[in-house]
Amino acid sequence: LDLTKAFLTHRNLLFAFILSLVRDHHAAEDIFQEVGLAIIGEQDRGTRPDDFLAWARAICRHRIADHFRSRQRQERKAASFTDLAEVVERSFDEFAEETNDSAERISRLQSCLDALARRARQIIDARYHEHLAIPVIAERIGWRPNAVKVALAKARLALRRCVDRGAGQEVKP
Amino acid sequence: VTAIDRFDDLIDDYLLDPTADAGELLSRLRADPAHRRDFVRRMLFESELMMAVGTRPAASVVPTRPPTAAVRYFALAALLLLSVGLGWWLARWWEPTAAVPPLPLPVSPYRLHEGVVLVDGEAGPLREGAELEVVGRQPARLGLPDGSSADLQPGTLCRLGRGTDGQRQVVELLQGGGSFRVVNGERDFVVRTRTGMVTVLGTEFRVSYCGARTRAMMVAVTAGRVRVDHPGGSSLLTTGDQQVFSQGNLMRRVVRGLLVQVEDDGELVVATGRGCLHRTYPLAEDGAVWQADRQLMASTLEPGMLIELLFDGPKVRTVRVMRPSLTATILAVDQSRRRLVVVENDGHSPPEEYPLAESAVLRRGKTVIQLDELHLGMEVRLSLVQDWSCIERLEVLRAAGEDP
Repeated sequence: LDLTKAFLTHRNLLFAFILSLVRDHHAAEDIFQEVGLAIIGEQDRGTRPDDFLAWARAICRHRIADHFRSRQRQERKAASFTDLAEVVERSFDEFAEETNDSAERISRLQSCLDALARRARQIIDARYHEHLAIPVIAERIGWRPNAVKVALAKARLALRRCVDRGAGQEVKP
Repeated sequence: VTAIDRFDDLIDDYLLDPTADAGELLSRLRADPAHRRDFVRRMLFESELMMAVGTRPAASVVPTRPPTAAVRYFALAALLLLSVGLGWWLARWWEPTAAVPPLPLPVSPYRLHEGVVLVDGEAGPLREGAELEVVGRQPARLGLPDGSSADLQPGTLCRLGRGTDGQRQVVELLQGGGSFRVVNGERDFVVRTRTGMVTVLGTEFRVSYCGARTRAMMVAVTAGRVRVDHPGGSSLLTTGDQQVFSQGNLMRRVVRGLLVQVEDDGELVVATGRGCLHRTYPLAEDGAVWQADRQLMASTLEPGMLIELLFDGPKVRTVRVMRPSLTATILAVDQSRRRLVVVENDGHSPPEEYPLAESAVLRRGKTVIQLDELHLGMEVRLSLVQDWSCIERLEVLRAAGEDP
């Protein structure tokens, strides 16, 4: 088993797992990189796990716990993280197999993004590229935060539908 | 669909506010495998979106080789060349000009106080001429430039405009409806549908329009007077009046109020508008009086009865004696706006939304309760004010699933 290759194959799934527990794009990226380096390091040491995803998720979970500890979050947060990690890991464990080919989906998603209305695209970029919080996006474009939230949800739904039915289709957020 | 939307909202809140309590999300994930699957799919999509818009988390994980010395020198030389070229271009073409102050952003005279509204299909500031759509489950409260306000129901489609010289504000209702509280002014405030035009100077009224389905327009006046122009002519409605217009026809006219007196000639004196306004309506010779499913003699009408009058032209065709209170089941409680959506337990009435009067008393047995103690499915007895515009007393008969 080539751990680096397996890591790259499942990078989207692992990143989603980290994001679902950390809830912060920047922190999720940092942790994802640490996990990647750790996995490459394990490859050099000759580690060969039976279940790559379960093993990689365990590494993610430890790194996320470190992240919360280093941020000196309150005890309440640490406790809720334990509860959450258990449920989130169970969710990923149960349904990870159903995931489609990420590379193909991302390529389709890029075509769908190109077909998105200009304003919706701006909001998507602000959130998913610049990782801006909703109030910041709202202030930037002069909208109410709730309106941005709704527009974001509609754009995301339109993109999901577009990806599911094939790229190049018209996208109506 | 609602459950899915709520779950999606929960995930949104969870992601958008890392400090938010995830208790409800956690319980749903624990309880339902379908939610766990939706959660994983949503998180994967979040990750895919980040990658698709340019952030590729894996890219920086694979270590890149440091550039060789030759590459570094080449890059430095290219940078120098670029800087010289840019300097020459700037020296040749750049001429100092006076700084142009940024144009002030136009401020919309319309305000969205509550609810979510899409403007021409997108979220954005309200503007004249744009098609507005009230989305979500909450009504939208709009503040209009003249100080008037409009509470638009979910699903309403409309356009806002200033109108012509004689009009200060025009609301073109394409679908749905709402309540309008119009401040007094010299020029007309107009609500327009394809069925007719409601014109007022200052009043409070409701308009519902069924749009493409039937093109029926219902106008109910809470206070003041409105004129409705329609292809069949013009109608003047005053406090307590409620009338349905279809294209060119008056489908139904309804007045609700308290019977003050029955004149010798059969005319009914009715108090509408919380008893402040007494009006006289002639009862048709063949007019009928009904209480629930029972027909009564006209002589049984007594002052103090709450009645509903249905017209055939200028005369009253039917008098319905209303119960002073109604038994209903709560469908929704809007605590912030102090409104209840209830359905009467008569098996055929449609759901109605009633505001609670400021002085409304809520009781369960002998105990006075608060609005937040009311829940979906509770059976309640409501006492309404005379014009049926709000609830003045509510008694909880039983909670959902509780034995009577």
